[in-house]
Amino acid sequence: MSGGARKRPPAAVLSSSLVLPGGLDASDVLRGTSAVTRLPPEHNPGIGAPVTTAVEAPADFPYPIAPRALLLALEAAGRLEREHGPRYGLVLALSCLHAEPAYLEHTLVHHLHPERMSDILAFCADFPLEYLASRLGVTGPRVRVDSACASGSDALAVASEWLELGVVDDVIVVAASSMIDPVGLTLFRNLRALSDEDDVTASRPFDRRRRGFVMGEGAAAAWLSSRLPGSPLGFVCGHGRSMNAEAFTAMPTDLDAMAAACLDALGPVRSVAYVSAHGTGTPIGDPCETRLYKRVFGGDAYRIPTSSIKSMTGHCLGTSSMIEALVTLEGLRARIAPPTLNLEEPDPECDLDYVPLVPRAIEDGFALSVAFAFGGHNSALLLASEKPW
Amino acid sequence: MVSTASTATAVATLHLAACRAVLAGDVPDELAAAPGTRCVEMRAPHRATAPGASYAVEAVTALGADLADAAVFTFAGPPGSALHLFQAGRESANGPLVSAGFGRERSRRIHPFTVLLALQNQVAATLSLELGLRGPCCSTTDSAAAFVDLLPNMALATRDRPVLAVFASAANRAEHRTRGIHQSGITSFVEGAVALLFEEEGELGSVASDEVVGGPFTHPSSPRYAPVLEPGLSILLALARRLDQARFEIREPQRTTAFRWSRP
Repeated sequence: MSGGARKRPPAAVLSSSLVLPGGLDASDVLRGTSAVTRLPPEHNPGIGAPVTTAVEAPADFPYPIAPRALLLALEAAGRLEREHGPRYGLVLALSCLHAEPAYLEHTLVHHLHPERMSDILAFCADFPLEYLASRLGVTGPRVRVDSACASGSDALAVASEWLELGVVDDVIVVAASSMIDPVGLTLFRNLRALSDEDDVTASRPFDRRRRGFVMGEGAAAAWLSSRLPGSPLGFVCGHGRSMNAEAFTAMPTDLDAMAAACLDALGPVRSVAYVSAHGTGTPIGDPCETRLYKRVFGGDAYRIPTSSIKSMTGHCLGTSSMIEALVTLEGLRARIAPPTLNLEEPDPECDLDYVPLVPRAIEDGFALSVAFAFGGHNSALLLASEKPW
Repeated sequence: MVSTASTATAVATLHLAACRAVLAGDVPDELAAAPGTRCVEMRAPHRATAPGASYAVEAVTALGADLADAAVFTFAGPPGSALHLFQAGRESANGPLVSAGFGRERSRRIHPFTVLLALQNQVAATLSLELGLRGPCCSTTDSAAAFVDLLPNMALATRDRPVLAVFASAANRAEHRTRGIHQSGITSFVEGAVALLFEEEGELGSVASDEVVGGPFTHPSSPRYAPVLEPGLSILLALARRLDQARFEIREPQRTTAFRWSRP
């Protein structure tokens, strides 16, 4: 569950795929391209970062209504290049299917009509996990994790543990989230978590003008292995998880648990070449995160390039942390820190090197990718582009 | 705690130190009388806390253990229904929920807590908040069969700290009952939570994964629809019947896994 680089061999990331908002790919994000755009009527707020690639249910999909998040997951999994081994594991991070408008509308109307229930079974029980497993030919262990916005990072952690323990030699990890619809936006807007600005530059992590996050959606997939055929994209070298036990939606005042997750992931590593911040752009979250990095890295925190790609992708909720981890691996390989877009007026309380506006060359080394979630989940990954030991 | 069997796959064994359950609905007598079980009335959501999370808090509290640094594995089914929170929005539209006027006007009638009730990490989050749990957490959803797949992860965690496994769901609601009856034909619904505390020196019994699916297994006394609760209810059954050896199958709509129970 926790523990860093010291104890465990790294899990190799042999391939990955991303379904990003606005048709972006990892190199677009590293260059600083934004996917935030205006949304159709009935979306409030009227901005977000939707996936623009058309996704449709496979022709043989067994039910008439398909969860959009599952379709995004299928798209990411379908793009993943891999060998077909005898026994893969599968970890799926897929959140909030029962808040999708199609499920709600059908269930509101038909929740007392058993004969209509088969229409929405694709949202229910173990169908999403098992359908994906069957499409991928997975026969090994499989689980669906849901720790809200830390889900993608936690999924990579569970997969890494299976590899470390020898449960399987190969694991596919898939994460997807889709709440960029009128209902999903409403849920977070009414909680005052979303920016209320009608401005495509409203995703402004660490900027003093920030007013909340901008909703994104997307999916990611990765093939993790304990074997080393060919040249891996990188390695998950450590992971750490904890709970805050303080508030459901607010960041904690006591940073002990968040720091513990980061330190568990870091293991013996004391500094890194880059930090992929959670950086949602909420008024309270960003200063809290700044204090956390000062605590974890001490004075080094000021010189470590740290950025939030949510400034470009929006907050892709349950899949954000996996997208961020995979973009971080690309950045380590290219030795580039992606920028924090729209960071034009730094908040004095967020006084670290948040790589404003343009990408930055970084040194070779480790990166820390962090995620914090509603409910108090903290999850951190230590990543490297080359086998570190 | 993780030993390598003759096959290439690691076989994990967990040692049970304590078990508590809070159950509601059509609870079979055998389970109701199991040690550490409390039967309660079905609960409604309370503010931002779904019934499934409420049962879980009560079951874990009953363990009476210091769990601040425990590793927590939650297996959550539907924590309750949030459907009623959207009903007014649909009725006021006199048509589909998402239609003209939703984004600007009717959407404001949806309560801010709705998203909290809709999140499926509700069980893990509420346990942490209510009981001060700050250790590592693996929150799973709709994955009862994955209990077996996560036994190695749990066994790994018991090297450093106690492990709390919590099964919780509240599916005895119209939305879930209709679907459950359609899928299973079963009309007996159980909801609630089962909390299992595993420690390296746990003495109540042992749980180990079983690669083999099919063959003889220990049957419940009567069929019940209790999504995601089955691994916990199976162990409760082993304790109630004082079984020295048992083999349980966890049957979900799409998949079946199995584990073995043994008592010292």
